[in-house]
Amino acid sequence: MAEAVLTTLEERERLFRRAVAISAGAHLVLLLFAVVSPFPRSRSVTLPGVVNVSLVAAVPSAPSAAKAAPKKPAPPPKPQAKPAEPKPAPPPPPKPEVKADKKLLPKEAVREPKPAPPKPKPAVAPPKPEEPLDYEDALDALREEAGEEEEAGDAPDPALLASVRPGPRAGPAGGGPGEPVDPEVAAWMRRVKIHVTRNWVLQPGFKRQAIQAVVEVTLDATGNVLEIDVTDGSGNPYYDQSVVRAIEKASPLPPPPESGEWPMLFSPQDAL
Amino acid sequence: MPLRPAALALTLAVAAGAALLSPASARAQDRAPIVITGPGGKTYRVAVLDFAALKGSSPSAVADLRKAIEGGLAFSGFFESVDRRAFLESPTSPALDPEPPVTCPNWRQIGADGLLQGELEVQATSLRAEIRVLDVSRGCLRLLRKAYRVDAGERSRLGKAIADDVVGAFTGVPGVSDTEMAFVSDRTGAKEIHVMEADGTNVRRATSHKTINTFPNWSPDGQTIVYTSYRHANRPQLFLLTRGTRSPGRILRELDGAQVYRGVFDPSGNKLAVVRDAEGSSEIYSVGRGGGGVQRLTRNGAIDVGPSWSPDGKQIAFASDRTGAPQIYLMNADGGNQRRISFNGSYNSAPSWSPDGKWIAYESRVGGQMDIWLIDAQGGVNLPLVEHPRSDEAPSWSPDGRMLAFTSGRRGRMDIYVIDVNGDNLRQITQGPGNNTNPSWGPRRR
Repeated sequence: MAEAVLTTLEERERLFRRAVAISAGAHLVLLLFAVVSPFPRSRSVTLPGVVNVSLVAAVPSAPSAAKAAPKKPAPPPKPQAKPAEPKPAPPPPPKPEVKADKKLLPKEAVREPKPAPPKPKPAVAPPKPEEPLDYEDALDALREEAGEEEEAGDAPDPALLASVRPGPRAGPAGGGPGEPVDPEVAAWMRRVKIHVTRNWVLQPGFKRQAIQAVVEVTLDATGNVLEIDVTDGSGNPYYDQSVVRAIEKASPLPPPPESGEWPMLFSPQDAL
Repeated sequence: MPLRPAALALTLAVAAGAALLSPASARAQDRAPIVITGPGGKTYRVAVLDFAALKGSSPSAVADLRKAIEGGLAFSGFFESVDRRAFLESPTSPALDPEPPVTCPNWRQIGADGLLQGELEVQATSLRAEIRVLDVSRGCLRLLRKAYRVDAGERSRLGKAIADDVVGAFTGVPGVSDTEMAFVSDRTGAKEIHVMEADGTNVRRATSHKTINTFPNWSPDGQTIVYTSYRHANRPQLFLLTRGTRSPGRILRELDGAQVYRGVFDPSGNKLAVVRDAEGSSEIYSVGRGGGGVQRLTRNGAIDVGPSWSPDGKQIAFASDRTGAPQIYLMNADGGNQRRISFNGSYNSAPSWSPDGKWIAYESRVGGQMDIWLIDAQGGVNLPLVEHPRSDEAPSWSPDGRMLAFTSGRRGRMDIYVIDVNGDNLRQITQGPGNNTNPSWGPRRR
């Protein structure tokens, strides 16, 4: 139990730090954009689809690697070497640490090899003094979220993400590196993510599969779910149903920045 | 196809109009998806009602059935029943004919994902039940309506069968609470084969040879258990125990004379992979269930043991110490294409192929004790499932592939435990007496 709690705490802290970093990065990007933007400063100018959820912007776009990726994102660096069995092998350098009292850690073991958490892009703009205010707000919002949700989502799998990016563009507008991010939209998307994640039940067995579904969720201005359209199903109707169930159950969502269709991608975190 | 100018103009006009009409509703394609990874909800919550008591049915029969259903749901590890005290509606189901209306928001409001209604009729020698499963999250959509009839003697199974179907209605793969395990127990002094419900209840002794009996393995139809016994001349041989017969086990004749350490049914049930002695070591053979067709699959001076069939019956996983220490190997069902897939650790054994064919569970010695690991059939992914300072051994998959049973000495004596394939929901199934080992999880009952 204690390990579990610890893990959750670590997770939360990690997520929190990352989110703050991203938020900071996003703000910087926005700020820079505001400074050099040819557009008048007005909310209505928000570029179509200039949105970003958590770490998307930082993920290097990999359009070509898209399809191959989902199967095995970066083969987990296995702790065991895989030589042709030297007979008098040196004592196996085995396994991710065997602690005396840990019982069941498969998930951690799987997670460990995950690609390093994407960093926000510091390259885009130098820090500006004006930041702290929003920054504090963001912190508060995050604290609130973290407080009400134990297992806020994790970093999206870059490979899986890349695989759903349609079209010739490197990513959806706003998803690409260097593009501006609307912090309001990003914050809303984070809240939705937490809200929906909490309502998604995934049966054992799917967890380690590279399986995903993309749905378009039509929202009214207050966040009521009007329609759920499975636009790119997983091929398994029960998986898709679990996704629809999660969204239905999460309705109403936090009021969106604008009504309309919002895409969501559902993928088990532990897909190998 | 070239568009005529008029048509083109019209198309453009329509497109422009559409764009003007929906300035606010941005197209989803223009937006980055909200990525939902890793479920936050651990369980589906089902409101299980007391079934409507039709003739012959008593309140206690109804309550017993509900508890059995709740137990069966809990066994899945990812379903639970909603606390009845939270109900906003009657905890008793209406009769199902005619199809009763439902006030869905009242169930949604208490956080139920599903609603199980039903009716129960108790007759002289049998029980009849009918159920309706509603998907509360999706507007109380009806997922399942099903009728059951069971002999009075099997009434304890009815609730589990219903629970398994509820799991299936939500996930496409029914639960496995209504299954059995065979295992070895020395609770009577000698190692005898025993059978129990998968949840550990209703333990029955299946052999009483007062000698060593071990390695039980179910036939795919669940009617026969093959096991190894030393009952004749203290030499290990295979015996078949068939459900419903009083005979203490029929010897697999065609292997007379050899020492036979273990037999494992193939997925068709028509033949077995068998470990027997040959030229001073143990080798794997295949043999027809009814005799004949003996075929030698391994041939070397090393020990080859622990066969486990792939679900399509085309391959066999096994353990061999041909490189000096036991490792996991695969071969074709005819013995061809033998290849090693495990390369970590110095002692890997007891492979067990998952029902979906993707994984092979095996025991691996790390430090001083055995742990249970999963390796994919290509040998590419290898990860620990159960780790503990005490030994964990002899994994056996549940028929739905969501769980594994295994033997563990973590509480001193050996007992059987179950864990789900994600490494969650560890549960102790046997609680003594004696040592309880070598589970073989039986198939679904028909």
